[in-house]
Amino acid sequence: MSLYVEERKDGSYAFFMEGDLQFDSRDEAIYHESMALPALSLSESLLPEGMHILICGGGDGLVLRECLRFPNVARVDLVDIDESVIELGRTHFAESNQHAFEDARVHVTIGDAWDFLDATSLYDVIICDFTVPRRPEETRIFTQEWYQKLKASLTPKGMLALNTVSPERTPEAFYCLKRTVRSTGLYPVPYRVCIPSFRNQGYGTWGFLLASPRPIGIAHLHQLKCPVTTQQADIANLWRGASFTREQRRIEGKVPIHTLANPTLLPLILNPSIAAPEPLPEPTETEPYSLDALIRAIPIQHAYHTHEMIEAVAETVVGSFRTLDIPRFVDALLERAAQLPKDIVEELERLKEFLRLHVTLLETFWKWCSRVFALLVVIMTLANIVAPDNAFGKGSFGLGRASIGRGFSSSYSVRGTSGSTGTRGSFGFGGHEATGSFSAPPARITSTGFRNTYGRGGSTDIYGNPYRSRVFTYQEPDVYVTYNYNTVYTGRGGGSRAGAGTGSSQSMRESKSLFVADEDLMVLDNGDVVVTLSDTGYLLLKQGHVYLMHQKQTTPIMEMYADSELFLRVSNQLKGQAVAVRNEREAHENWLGWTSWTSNLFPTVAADKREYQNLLDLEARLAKTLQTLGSPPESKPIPLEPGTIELFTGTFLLPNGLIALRNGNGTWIYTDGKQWYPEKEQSGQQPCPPPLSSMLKEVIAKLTKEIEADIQADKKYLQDLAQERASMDVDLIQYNQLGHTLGMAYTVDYGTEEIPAYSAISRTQQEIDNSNYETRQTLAEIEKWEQNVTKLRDFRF
Amino acid sequence: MKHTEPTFQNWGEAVRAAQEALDAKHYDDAKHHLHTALQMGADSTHVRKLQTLVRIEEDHQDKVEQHSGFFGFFVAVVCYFILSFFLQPQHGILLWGVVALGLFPALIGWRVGKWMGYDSPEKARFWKAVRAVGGAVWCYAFMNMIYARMQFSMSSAGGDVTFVWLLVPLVYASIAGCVAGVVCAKLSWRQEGN
Repeated sequence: MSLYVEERKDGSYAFFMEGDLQFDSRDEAIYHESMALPALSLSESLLPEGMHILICGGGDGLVLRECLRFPNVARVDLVDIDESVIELGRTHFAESNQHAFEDARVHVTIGDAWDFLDATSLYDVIICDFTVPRRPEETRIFTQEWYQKLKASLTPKGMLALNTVSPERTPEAFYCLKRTVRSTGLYPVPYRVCIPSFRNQGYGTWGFLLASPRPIGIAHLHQLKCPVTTQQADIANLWRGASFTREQRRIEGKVPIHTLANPTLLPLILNPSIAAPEPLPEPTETEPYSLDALIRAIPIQHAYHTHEMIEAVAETVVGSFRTLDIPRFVDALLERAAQLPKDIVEELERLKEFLRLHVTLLETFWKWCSRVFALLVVIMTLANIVAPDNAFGKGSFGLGRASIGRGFSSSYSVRGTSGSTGTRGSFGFGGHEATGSFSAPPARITSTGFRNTYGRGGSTDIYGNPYRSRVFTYQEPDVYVTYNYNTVYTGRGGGSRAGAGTGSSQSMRESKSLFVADEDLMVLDNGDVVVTLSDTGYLLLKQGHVYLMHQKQTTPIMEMYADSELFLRVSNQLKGQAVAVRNEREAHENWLGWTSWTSNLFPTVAADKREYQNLLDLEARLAKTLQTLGSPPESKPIPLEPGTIELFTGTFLLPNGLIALRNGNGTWIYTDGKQWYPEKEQSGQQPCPPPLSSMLKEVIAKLTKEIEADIQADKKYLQDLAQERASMDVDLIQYNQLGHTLGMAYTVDYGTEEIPAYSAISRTQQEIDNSNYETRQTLAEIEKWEQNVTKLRDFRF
Repeated sequence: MKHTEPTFQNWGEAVRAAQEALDAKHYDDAKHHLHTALQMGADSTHVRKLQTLVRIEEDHQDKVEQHSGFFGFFVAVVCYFILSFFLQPQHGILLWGVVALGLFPALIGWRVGKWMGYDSPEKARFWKAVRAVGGAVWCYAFMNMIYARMQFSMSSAGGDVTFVWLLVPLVYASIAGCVAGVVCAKLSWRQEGN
């Protein structure tokens, strides 16, 4: 282990271990007093007869010094694994620790604290002053198992003082330690202090844990009376450092417990502000090498980059480089390289000379670098003022695409399930209200579909995401002749039966999907609108009519009842997207106004120009589509029996197991998958067309999957609610404790606010009530969905 | 600069000519005429007063000249800031070009030239106006282009978009700067013989 003592001219010094600052003689008392005195003071009031103390780590003797200031300390055991640190404590730091090692009450053991604790002694106070772990094997003395050992070695009234990590820089690690201690049954009280030398090193405020087998809280710190005079720490106000915001405390619920089996602390120290990874799977024989471990060990992972994280890493890198003294390094190399061949030594001499001569050049270079950097910062700042949040090329506009997609999907096809009331308004239409107005979605192109896919054989959504084009072949609907339920459509060239797929070659056309308005809603290159139901079934919307189509036949299976609400929603969605397209087109126009003449020079401008042309084309097509879509007369709500499930527009799974389809003329057709017949009378039964039967099966399977996914999502949400509820319960207990101890007017932290305890109690109670209400609602929803999904699973043709 | 040497019948004509040159801010001419007047026997008290006046005016002009580039840049920034809200290239490249690259640079160049004074060399006037107007136009175009490009997906932008941002404004800045420079150097002061 590398130890380094940095001596200064003023007689002060700093002690580094493995490059980490352990203490600076100028402010070490803040650290050691803040760590040791609360535990010692609380114990002293309980144990006037004499204390037995164990110090784990702390070979420098400075914690020892604090302990020996208490006259009723009978014995102090100090165990440290590093003999050289103890040697420094006895010699170099002797003045600072006031020759603590010479005290007869002190018993030093050199060894592993883990093994030392296997002995059966009990202690009144245990102080753990370990360095922050930087290697996996060093985290053992921060595990749940370790704290269990400590608890077993504590007397029932004993106190535990723990050095932890920075709650400012590594809050997850700090709360992981707190949670780990709490998991052993000890009651931890976290607090932090500001140590200037630690701050200068970029460590931030430093955290400690005070723990005990009996319940203790922040009130104990508040009432703390230290019997000895402190040099630097403000023990009377230490309680202020124990006050953490609600956001900070909530981190505790998100971090894992650090155990030997699931060591999670080190990633949290190295990757602050990310969740701890799942424990690594045991390597199997077939996969002897796994890169996962290596990837997880990398301090920065792209998906989790945060500003603070990059800053911290950059600070470390810059700090390391600043401490580099290259000429001295070369000198050291020369000393160690005496046995190297002569020519290499000469080369090193030349390198040293080169560095000496060019050091001024380097200074100039750095000066110019800093100027360029300052200029860039100014430009980026100005750009960020002009276009907030975009100037750093983040690329994402936070559109909530998935939610738009799912909401829309619910509206049109298979996600509509009826509620038990059976009214029209209770259908799962994704929250859309049929007001006739629309608002443009805040869509922005975020992908390259309009550059490379649109009009080149593929289809694109509003975000520019490319999709594989789907081909729909059907006869023009204006030639369909509607008879009744058992007569299917005929093409212009002659009659054709359902499933026959024959028709007039003149009116047949093959259309490709050009624009994906939603995952289920497509605009074809001929301007027709298609709502896909399954891999093979789809609805064709044209001129105020809805046709139920099958991919493998060119004529409709049947004309469906044209629901005016469906048309309104499709129309609103397309209008909204048309507005978004127009906005994008205008934005491109603005940009190209400046740059279009450079399209031959810059590929980006050429691509922007192509994108602009495609947007222009789409805008025209959407306008045409909105014209040809049409709108049927306003339809009345359908009274439905409770337990009915809507499969898609005008198609319901009835409680008796039949499927009802509403015909184009408003009458109903029923099918059990084998036969179909009108108006529930089972007379005049005809065999159900195979395409219809297979399509309905697919739709039911798809709907079942989607509802199952929603149930899973809701269950996850319930878990989150429960976790949040637990955290609020803890808050409420703490507020009540503070209120009863210090008065209800006492100011407490509530999130980012400081409010009276009575107000915090009332607000937290309100939040708990809201959480309970939300839980009940979600449970009811899950119950309803589970009923529906059971019916769908049980359905058999 | 080309000077023609006037001939005076008496020192009174020289003093009057000096007075006129001072009013027209032609300080070198004024000093020259006053010197001639002294040589022709003019009242030295009166001439010294005028010489002091010329010196004061000249000092003031030096200060204005010294800051004319900054003033020009400031006026140009204000003008183009206003222009950003009312006129962009997509409103019609011709109209925009005339205003942003013709009218504004010419007016600002003319004003900078006036601030710099009659006596400053054409080359200095040209470059002062180029820097003032060109700098402002570069900033104007750069900011507007960043804003315009940020209005749609940055993820689809190629790496060369940075070059577009830096170089295209440079072209606009060069055009506007040259217009301003030429007006400033050649048109703000009509010199004799030109």
